[in-house]
Amino acid sequence: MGKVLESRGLWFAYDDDYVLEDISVSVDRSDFVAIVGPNGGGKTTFVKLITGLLQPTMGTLTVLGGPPAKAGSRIGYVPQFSTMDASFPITVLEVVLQGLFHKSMIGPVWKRDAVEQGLHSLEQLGIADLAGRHFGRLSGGQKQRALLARALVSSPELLILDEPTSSVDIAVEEDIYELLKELNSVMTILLVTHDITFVSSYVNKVMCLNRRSACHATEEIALEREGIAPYGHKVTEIRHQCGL
Amino acid sequence: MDSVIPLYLFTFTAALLSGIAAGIAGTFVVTRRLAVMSGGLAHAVLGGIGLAVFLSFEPLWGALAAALLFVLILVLGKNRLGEREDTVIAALWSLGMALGVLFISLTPGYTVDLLSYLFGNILLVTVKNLFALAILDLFLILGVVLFKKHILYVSFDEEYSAMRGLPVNLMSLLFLGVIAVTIVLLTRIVGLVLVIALLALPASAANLFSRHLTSMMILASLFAVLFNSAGLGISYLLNLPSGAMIIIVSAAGYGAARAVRALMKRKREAPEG
Repeated sequence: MGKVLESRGLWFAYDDDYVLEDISVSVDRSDFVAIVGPNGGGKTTFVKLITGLLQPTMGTLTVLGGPPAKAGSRIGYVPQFSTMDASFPITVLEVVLQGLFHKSMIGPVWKRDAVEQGLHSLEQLGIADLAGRHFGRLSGGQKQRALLARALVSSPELLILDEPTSSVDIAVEEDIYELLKELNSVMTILLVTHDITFVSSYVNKVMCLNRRSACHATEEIALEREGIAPYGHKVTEIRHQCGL
Repeated sequence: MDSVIPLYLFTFTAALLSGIAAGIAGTFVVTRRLAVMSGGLAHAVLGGIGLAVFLSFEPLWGALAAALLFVLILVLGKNRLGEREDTVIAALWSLGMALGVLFISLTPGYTVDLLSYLFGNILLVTVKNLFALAILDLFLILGVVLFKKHILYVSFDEEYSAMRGLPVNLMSLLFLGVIAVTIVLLTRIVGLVLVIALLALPASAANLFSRHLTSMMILASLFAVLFNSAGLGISYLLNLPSGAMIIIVSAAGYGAARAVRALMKRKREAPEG
C-alpha cells in the first residue's frame, strides 16, 4: 500500500525555537491516526506542515506522494471553528463550496453541478436544510458538520481534523466519530485530539507528539485504569509507553 | 468646485460616488477587522499632504504616496521583521501626523486649508475628485464581480484558502491597497480624522442584515449614500460642517440599524400566540 504521508528527520523552528525535532513517521492508505500530545507539543504545527502552510526547517515531508503544497486539493481539512468570525456574512452552502474552490474560478456565480455537489455533501452530514442559513448563527455541532461537509465535498484522499469535537456535546461527538469510521473505508484520516480515550476504539494508530514523536498501533497502548467521570461517562486513564 | 454644476447636483454626485466606494471598501474593513489599521492610515496620510503642500504640488498625490508607503511599511514590519501590527500602526499613525504638522508649519499661510483635510469640506471637492471616485467605484465593482469568490474565501478563512493555493498574501496586500486609495479619495469629503467612521459604520450596519458578502457590500453602499446625502443636506440647511454632519448621521444610522435588528430578533424569538 502507498504511503499517504511520510516524514524523515523533520525539524521545524519558529525563529530559533524548535517546536518539532527529528520527526519520522509514515501513514499508510486507510490508516486512522490520532495525533495526541500536550498544548505546545507541536500538533498544530505538524498539521500546518502537512497542509503546506509552513515549510520544514530541515528534513523531508511528502504528502500523497509529493510536496505538501501540491497536495492541497486532495486534502480535506477541518480546523477548529472557534477562531472563525461568527458575524462574517456567509451561508452554510457557501462555506461548503469553498472545498471545491480553485483560484482559476473567476466570476460571481457557482456552476450548477458544484452547487449540487455541495448540497449532497450537506445531505451526507444530515444538515441539507441549513444550506441557506448564516454560518455564524449555527450551533457548535452544526458548524462542525458544515466544516466537515466542506472538507468532504471534494472527496479527498486525506482528511485532517483539528480537535473536531472540542466544542460539541457527547452525542454529537459520537455521531462524528461514527461518520469518520465509515469514511475511513475510502480515505485516510489524521485526527488531532486531546481525547484519546474516546477515539481509541476508532483509530488504528496513535502518534504521540511532544516536540519529538512516537507512533504506536492502538493495541500497544496500555489501558491502566478505568473509572467514572463526574459527568457519568466512563473514563480510562492511558499511559503511553513511548516516554514522551 | 466647478461653478457650472448646480451645488445640489454636485453634492449628491459626491455623496453617491463616495458612498459606493465607502460601502465596498468598508465591507473589507469590517469583515477583515481592519478598522484600527484604516484609522491609523487615514491619520498618517497627513504626512504626505504636508510634504506636498510644502513642496507646492497636488496634496492628493502626497496623500496617496503616504497611504501606500504606510501599507508597505506595515506589511514589511509585520511579515519580515516580526513587529507587532498594532505597534507599527501606532508608530506610523503618530509619525505621519507629526511630519504633516511639521511640514505645514514650515509653509506659511496654509492653516485654513489644513482644516479641510482634517475634517473635510464638500465645497473644496473638485470635478477631478469626482472623476477619481467614479474610476475607483468602477474598479471596485468590476473587481468584486470578477473575484467575488476569491474575496469571500480569503476574507472568511485565510488559512484554508492558502491551503487551496490562493495567493493569500497578494490578495491581502490588494485589500490594503484598495482601502488606502479609498481613504485618500474620501478625505476630501469627510476629512482624514473622520473617514474611518464612513468606512466602518455603514458596513457594520449592513453586516447586521446580511448573509452574503455581496449583499453586505450593496447594503453598505446604500447606507453610505443615504448617510452622506442626509449629512450633506443637513449641513447645507443648518450651515454646519459637512464632514462632521455625515459622521453624526452615520452614527445615528448605525444606532437605528442596531435597534431594528434587536426588534427583529425579539419578534422572532417571541412565543407565538
